[in-house]
Amino acid sequence: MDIRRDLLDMPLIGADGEPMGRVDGVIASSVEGRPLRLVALELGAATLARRIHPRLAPWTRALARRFSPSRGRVCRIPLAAVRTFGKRLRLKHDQAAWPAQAWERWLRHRVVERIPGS
Amino acid sequence: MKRLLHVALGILTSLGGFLEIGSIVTAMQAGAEFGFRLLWVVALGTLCAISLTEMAGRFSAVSQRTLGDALRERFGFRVFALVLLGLGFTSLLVLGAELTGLAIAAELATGVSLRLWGLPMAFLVWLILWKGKFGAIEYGVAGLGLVTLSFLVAAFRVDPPAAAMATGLVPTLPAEQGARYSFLAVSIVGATLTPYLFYFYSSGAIEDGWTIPELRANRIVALVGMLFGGVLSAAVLVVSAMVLPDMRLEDYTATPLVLSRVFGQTGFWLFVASLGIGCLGAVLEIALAITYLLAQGYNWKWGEDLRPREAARFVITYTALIAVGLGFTLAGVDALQLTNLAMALSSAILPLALSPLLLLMNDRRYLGRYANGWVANGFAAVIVGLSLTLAVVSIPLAIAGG
Repeated sequence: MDIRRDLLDMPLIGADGEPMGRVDGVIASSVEGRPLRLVALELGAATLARRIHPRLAPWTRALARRFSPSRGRVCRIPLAAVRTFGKRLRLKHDQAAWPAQAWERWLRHRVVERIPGS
Repeated sequence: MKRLLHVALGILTSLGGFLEIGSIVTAMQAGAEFGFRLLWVVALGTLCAISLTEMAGRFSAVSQRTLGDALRERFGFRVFALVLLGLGFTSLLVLGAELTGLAIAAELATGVSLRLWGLPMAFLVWLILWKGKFGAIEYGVAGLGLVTLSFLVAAFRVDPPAAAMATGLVPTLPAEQGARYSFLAVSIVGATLTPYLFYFYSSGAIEDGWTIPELRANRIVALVGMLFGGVLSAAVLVVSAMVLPDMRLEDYTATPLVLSRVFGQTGFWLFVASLGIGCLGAVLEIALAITYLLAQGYNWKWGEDLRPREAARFVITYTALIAVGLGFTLAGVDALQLTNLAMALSSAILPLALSPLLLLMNDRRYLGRYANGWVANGFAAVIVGLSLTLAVVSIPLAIAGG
């Protein structure tokens, strides 16, 4: 599997078929003398910011800690939680409660549902 | 039969969405100041628009991906963020211009200042998006947009000299006012090849459930729809050349002259209706196009047919975009200058917005045997050359000729 081609930026789909964001970054563990081993997928603004420029990551994290409904918690998915790989990464469990969906939940409950006709 | 209906509706859609403040203003200025001499730019822009629309539709029908999806997957987050920022910023200016155009139509109709109309009009746009389904919006705007055909009727009424129009199709540079001429040329291309359009069309193909059997319909829609849009723009230019010769359009209150000098008082109302409906369609399209791009790039739940509570980030995004657009109307930015600037910027952004599409069209992992052939790539080469030239010259020209 090619990380850049087959993992990074690919869409995640929850067990219920709902879109669940994209793979913003990957976590690999390195042991000397062995090839890198992929451990987990990561989602979140700070992960993305690091890809623009490493310096941006701490600032984004600080902002998220203050203003994001997820309080800046990092969303990490172990590889074992992925049911199928391919053009879409299907997850084994319903992930509606995880941090990457925090804004969606917050906006839904605090804003959208309060407008008539939602 | 169903597919035929689909084609007819698709053509209507591009008709309704084509003529808006950008194409009306730039074509009017071109006709009034330079006669038929800029007709060739309308023709060239339309040819490119046909080709690009066909590509965007083909890409989504075959790969079952929107351009936004593929942009992020194929080119990574950095490129996606760059395109999103560039396209988002430009499209916000265009959105501001279109919303102001909608308010201008209301002011012309009622005599009440456009600044007072800004808020109700923005609310109307928001309400349509909040309540409406994609198909209803698409076809509703398209049906009402048929009123813009009055420009075509006017073009026949003024009986323009055919020989002079034909020479206008040959590119020439005027002896004087070269900067102004080139600036208007750039603005016309910006208005014809509005970059958000292709991202919108690609999302529409997915919202409407297009697949490989729809490819033929896609070709017809792109060809006939864009051709007709181009003919309408040309009609505006021709009528302006005939009835507003040597007039420099300084103020939007003078814009209805283009039809009222042909049809009298009826023409005034036809113009107001065309401007209002065209701008309404454009505001809806832009707000949706940018929201789609964002939602696809981040893989949020998206779709105009979902209930708002099912796609909270989606509805909040278009709400915010409309609010920013309203800012331009309320701030009292000069509508014509804003339109010209937005169209020039649209030209400048073309290489950034279009090169991902053109690269994707040659990627067989997405398109297999439906990837671009040499004809389409020939068009692509012309478009790349054109857009690179425009990107370099548009900003200096906006300063020199705008």
